[in-house]
Amino acid sequence: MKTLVLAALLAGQEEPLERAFDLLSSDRVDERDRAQADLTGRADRALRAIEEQLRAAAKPEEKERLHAALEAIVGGKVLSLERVKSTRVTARFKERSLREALDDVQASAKIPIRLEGTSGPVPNQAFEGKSLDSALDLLTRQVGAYWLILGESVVVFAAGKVPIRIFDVQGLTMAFRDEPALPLDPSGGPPLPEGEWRQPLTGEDVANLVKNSVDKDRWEEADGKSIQFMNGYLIVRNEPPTLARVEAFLDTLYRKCELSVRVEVEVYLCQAGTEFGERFLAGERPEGPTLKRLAVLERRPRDKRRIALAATAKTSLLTRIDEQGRPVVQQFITGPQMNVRASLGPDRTSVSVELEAGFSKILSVARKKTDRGEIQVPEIANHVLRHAAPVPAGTWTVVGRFQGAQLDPDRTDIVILGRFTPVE
Amino acid sequence: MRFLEILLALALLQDPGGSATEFSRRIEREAAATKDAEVRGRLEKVRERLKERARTILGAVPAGDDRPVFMIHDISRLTAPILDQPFPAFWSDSPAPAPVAVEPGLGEEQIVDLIKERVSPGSWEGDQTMEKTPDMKLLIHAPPAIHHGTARMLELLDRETNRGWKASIAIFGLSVPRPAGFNPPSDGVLPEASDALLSKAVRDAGDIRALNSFEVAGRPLQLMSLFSGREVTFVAGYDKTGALTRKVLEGVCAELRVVSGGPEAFHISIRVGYRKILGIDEVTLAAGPVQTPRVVEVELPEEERRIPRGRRVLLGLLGPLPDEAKAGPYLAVVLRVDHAR
Repeated sequence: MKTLVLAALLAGQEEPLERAFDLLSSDRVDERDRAQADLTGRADRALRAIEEQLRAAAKPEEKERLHAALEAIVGGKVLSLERVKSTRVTARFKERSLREALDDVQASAKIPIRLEGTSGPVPNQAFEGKSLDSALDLLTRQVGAYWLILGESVVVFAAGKVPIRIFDVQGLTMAFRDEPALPLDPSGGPPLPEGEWRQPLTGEDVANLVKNSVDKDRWEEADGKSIQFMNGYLIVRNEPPTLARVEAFLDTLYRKCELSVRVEVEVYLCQAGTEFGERFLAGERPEGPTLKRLAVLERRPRDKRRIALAATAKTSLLTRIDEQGRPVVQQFITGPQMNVRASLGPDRTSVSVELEAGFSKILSVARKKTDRGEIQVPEIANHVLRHAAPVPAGTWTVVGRFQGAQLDPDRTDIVILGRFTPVE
Repeated sequence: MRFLEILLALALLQDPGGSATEFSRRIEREAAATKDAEVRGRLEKVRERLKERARTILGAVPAGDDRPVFMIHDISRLTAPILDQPFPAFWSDSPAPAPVAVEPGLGEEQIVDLIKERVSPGSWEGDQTMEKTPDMKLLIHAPPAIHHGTARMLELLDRETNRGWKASIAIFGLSVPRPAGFNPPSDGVLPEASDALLSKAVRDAGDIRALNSFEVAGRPLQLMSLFSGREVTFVAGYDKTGALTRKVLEGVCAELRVVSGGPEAFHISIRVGYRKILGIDEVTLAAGPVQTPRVVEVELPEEERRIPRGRRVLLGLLGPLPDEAKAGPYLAVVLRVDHAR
């Protein structure tokens, strides 16, 4: 009923169609103009209605019906993006030019594909039931071209002297620094200097490495071939096979530049004099009266980058009341804290480990009355160990031990185990 | 007659395809039937209009139309500065520094040069022009095919240099440091078989318990952050006006920056912190009680590494937390990053 009312309103606003046709032959120019404008308005409204229904259509058959109506208006089949997306392609190329590769795709897709411009060989490729748009995307990307639907054909534009590709190398050129070192002092202490920023490679380094490693003799500028670094991106102009080799080289460079080490540290409290055999180092470390796990920390930092490992408790205590009678609250950071740098040896069978570890615990907090009010006085145990030595890669090793620690009255030894494994 | 018009309008609402086709045919018939050249001309103009709009809806560009037209192409997505979104309040009491905007990979000049180099090179002279507008748009006067080529080139540049990322960060509580099924190889990439185990962790309270998980997305190089938890206020002292309070954020906070790490990898830098208030002690002063919180905290301070695309990666294992934290006692931070689109 609502539709009927709406339709009645819609119809009520318009001149009857027949009258618009009649007025086209009117003696008066303004009436002829008005009739033409009326018909144009009807055309626009009719197509807007199709567009809206197409947008709302969920079923494929509904879309097909609307497409058929549009094609009937155009006066024939039209190559649409929808059709390109739904067309499947099976093709395999080896050492072929872009033209030949496109001929193969065209034969499989049965849609005309035109090449504007010229392009050298495309890297070897195989498509199995791939959608035509994805296949075209892949092919054109490799040769720095792009494609469009123009009229009844797909047109591939391979403009310029040589193809161009943009490679994101931000991960290679981004600077990094050591993590801020932990002070290993429960009351904080003076701030430690921040690590220096290091850049694994500059943009210029990456560009030079590529030029000197990939098709060394094929970078003649006179032929339009170039490599340019800009804000974390390499803009490379060269033949498609060279571009494919640049992509593979950059992948290798990423792997080589981002060598990392799996750092696993476990800390135990144990009874004085406890000996640790091979079984303990191999992984059997059950907790019990003689053994208590104090920390398990694991990270995968870059080779040679110092990291901070901690699982701490922060306790705020009112330790002083100043001359104006204001309470001074101090924060104490206790628990295991470590600064570790693992540097892989040249053959990766050993790792040089620099480790400094601190273990602290608030043993008690006494309340003390002063003339300005009550304050808290903590008794804190703190043990710090520094170690720097090579250890075998990939095996658990005892990297430090203290005796006479005061963290636990029954277990007075602290043992630090570490395993440092190159990440493949 | 009026009733017929209502029926036609009704048909247009219910079957716009059929009505438009019928309207188009009617125009064609009228044009064929008339002997008046002017009427035919006017009807053909209407018919052309119909065809042109139908072609546009079908996404087809007419071939051979070389008449230059003006069009505006928006490049702001590519050139907009990248603004970091940190969450400094979790890490420090000091006031937050102003967010830093980073220039994106390509500037306007490079975009213009790349379009002129790749889209119909040599034709950008005379009538065919490209002007930059102050609001990061390109005003181009060129034939339709060049406009379509430009739009396509901008789409490709967007894909190459502005591909967004999405990440999921999950914190798991582990009852033992390396429970069965949760001991990845040295690169930290969890086997796909562990997906089922981790999904189970959400429901069950076994050796692995899901504590928090988040989804976050950003542009390349953009630092994004998230926080989940609560703000606890306590009395830290007194002055003439009364009690002075301080705030502690309890919960999980992460700040993540992602850039490309090669074709199938990302380079990430992430900071993750987990904080829990274990209790608040009180000391009584003449002015009133002062509260001193006891907090447990673990942190991955500046984790920075390369991880494969779309895979769950164990970034770190931290602990044990005291029993009263009721989390873990070991915490595992797992990250998965993929392209946003």
